[in-house]
Amino acid sequence: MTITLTSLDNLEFKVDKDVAERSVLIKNMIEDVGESDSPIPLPNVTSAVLKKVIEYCEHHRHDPVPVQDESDDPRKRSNDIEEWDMKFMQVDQEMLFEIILAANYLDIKPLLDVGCKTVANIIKGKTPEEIRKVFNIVNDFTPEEEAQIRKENEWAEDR
Amino acid sequence: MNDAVRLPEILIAIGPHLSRRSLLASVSVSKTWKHIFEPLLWTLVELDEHDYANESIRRAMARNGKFVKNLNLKDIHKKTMDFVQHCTRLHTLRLNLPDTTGKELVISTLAKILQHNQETLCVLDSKYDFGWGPGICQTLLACPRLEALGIYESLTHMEVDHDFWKIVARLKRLSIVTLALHFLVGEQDTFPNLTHLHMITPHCWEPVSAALASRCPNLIELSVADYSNSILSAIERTVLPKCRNLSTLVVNCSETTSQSRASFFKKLPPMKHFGMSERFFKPTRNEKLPFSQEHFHALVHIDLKWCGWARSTTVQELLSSCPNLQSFKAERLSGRDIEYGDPWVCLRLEELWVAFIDVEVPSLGSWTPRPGIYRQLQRLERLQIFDQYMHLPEMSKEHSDRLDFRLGFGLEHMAIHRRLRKLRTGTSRQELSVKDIKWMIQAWPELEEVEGILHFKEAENTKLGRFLERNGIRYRTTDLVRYDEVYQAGF
Repeated sequence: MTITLTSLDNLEFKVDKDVAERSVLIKNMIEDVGESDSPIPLPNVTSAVLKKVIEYCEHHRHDPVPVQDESDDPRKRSNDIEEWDMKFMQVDQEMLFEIILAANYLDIKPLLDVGCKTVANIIKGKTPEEIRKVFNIVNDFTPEEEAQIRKENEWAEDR
Repeated sequence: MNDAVRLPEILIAIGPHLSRRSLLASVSVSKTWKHIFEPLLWTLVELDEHDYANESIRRAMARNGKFVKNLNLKDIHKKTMDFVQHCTRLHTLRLNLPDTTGKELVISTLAKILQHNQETLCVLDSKYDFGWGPGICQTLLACPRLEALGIYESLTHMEVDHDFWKIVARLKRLSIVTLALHFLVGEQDTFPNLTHLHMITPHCWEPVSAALASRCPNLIELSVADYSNSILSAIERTVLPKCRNLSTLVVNCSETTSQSRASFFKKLPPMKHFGMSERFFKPTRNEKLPFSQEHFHALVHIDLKWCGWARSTTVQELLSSCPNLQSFKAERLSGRDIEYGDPWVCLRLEELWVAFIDVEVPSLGSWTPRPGIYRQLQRLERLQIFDQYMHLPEMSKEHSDRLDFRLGFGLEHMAIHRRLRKLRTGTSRQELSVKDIKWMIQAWPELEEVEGILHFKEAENTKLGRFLERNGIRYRTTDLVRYDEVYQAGF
């Protein structure tokens, strides 16, 4: 069975039901609405991003559905970003963030995890100034405020 | 970032994936980043005596105390309560105090913290000997959510009373380190809530750990360091039949006989995690483990460090029979057995600790490593931790051997291990150079920590260590033997 998804910019995407249902949000919508031909509107997702998300879901359509309990600490899970996912995530920063937001909204946990891990790997090992550079963030702290933050968090530094 | 409005949403999603180091850097990036990541950073707080002199920390604790879920105190000071009074939602409290800390101060501070966090406290792990008097027991009984307790009594034989067992009856996880435990529980008492039990009781003549474990019908995990003579058969007779859900069993004992082992392994059901170590080394003939395929397939973690009976052929057999292994620690593995043995099937192995013997063969006047070793190691594409620094016991006639981590002497065969995070190595013959270290850094992008001896000359060793650190990799020279690993208790 095919489902039609409509993006923010009104483009229609036809996908197989099992692919669409990788999104828990869509899965629940389908269950609520029942068998219907009407397209599902996704006003939070542009077509460019939706295309990427569908690509991910199609590649992972046969993956076992993840059973995650709330207390699971993502940091403890082994760093298993597979090759395909790594290449999939080689996009510009703006798209990377859009994918994370879309995965969050559509409730596609594995895609959210991969996106977040990718950003976490970008942040890893960087100083605050390096982080600002890479994400184009303005430093709105005064030097005194910065020094204060460092003092407050001294307990967290490796000794 | 262009989409300032949606930035918090992204940061909140990323938060749980950041390491503590990343969180620490992130709180200084900008005001928005600080606002989002500070509560995450402060969910786990560790304080030691230096921190108590830091006014900024005290003020920050007033602001962030409500976010603290895990509190580790490495020191208790008369100022401690000033810092800790704002923590009212603690989930876990760990005390790791030096023995010299005054008992009364600890007890009064602990009582206050428990009072403030009565409703939320789930875990108390104390590595400090403060005596289990009725006062503490009463306060703990008033914590309705307490489900895990770690106790450390070093100086006295632990005398416990009825109140203590009332607390235990509520617990899911219990860890006891004590010289000797006088077991005063009534004959009929059982502890159906207990699923995880760790006990270190080095001076008990009776197998008290087995006695307690056999009262826990729902036990999933049992880890004991019990030097009574009959611990293995006590576990076999009283624990295995009663604890039908047991999937983790770790036994540190003084010594076992081949009869007690034969009988024990016959009765041992398939285990997810199995570990054994013996204090005294006795050379034995090779013993085949009477394991079925079900046993081999169930094993995910194996720890046979300091296990005299586990010969190299047994170790090789495990590596070539257990497809689901994630971690494997074993004392002796002979290069010859590796080379001529069956292919290793543990392709998911993430941690390998091993003491090699017989690594090299003489070849045209010099020594070269057996290629079969690398052929096998190359199957372990998921290896994250490789520790080949283990020593064989002093009484062993064999000599520990090491793979040489130099290019041209075998290092190049380790290129496939792209997930390697930690390496522990070292031999008095090692002569690594900057070229080798550069190769490692390039080949192993996830490398976080190297421990050991890189070069037998101290000056060279230091230089290489500094090179690693400049490249963001922690380097530590190694302590020869890690006794603390055997005696570790807690969670």
